[in-house]
Amino acid sequence: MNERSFYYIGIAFFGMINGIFNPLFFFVFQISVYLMAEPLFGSTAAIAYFSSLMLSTGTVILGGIPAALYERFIGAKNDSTVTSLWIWLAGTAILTLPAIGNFLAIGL
Amino acid sequence: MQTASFWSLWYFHVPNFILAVVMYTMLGRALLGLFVEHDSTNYIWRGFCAITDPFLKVFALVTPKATAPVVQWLFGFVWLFWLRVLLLVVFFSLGILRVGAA
Repeated sequence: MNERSFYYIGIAFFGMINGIFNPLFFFVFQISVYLMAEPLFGSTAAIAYFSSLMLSTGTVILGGIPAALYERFIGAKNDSTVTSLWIWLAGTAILTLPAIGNFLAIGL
Repeated sequence: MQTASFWSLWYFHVPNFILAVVMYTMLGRALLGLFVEHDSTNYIWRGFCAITDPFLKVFALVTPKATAPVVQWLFGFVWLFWLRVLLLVVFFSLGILRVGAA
């Protein structure tokens, strides 16, 4: 497996944990009911899955902002560097901290 | 609880509608991108690109370069969802929207 794949797996893992166990889940669920009830056919389960997906992807996106700024700072051309992937992983891990308590208490 | 017409809250509904259009077009582009070449001259593909490219250029500034194009489009969808959430929260916090009014 490519060395970079481990970074992607780590980033996705933290994103997944934050999507499932984040304390903001119910807030996002309520907002999603308003914004997405029609496209998701009013299904509570689908809206809950969607809320979890938006939280996890939002974590990955927000965690990537410092990495992207770093890449601009060093003038990276076509691809991320190992350092920027580390920053991305660390940013995602930091954003997952509020969900770690629930994750350890409930588990997968 | 209170109901309101579209035009009495147009300053919320119009930007929300525009963001929703771009959001779903972004999703459409991600799905269509599975079947269509990126430099295709298909008019639907070009239309999707024309609508979403301005937003993608902005989002690309804060997205790491390792992100594949299809993932960028999906990230764009999520960005736009959160922008709609932000819009909703701002209008609620300012007291312009009330529960049931939107």
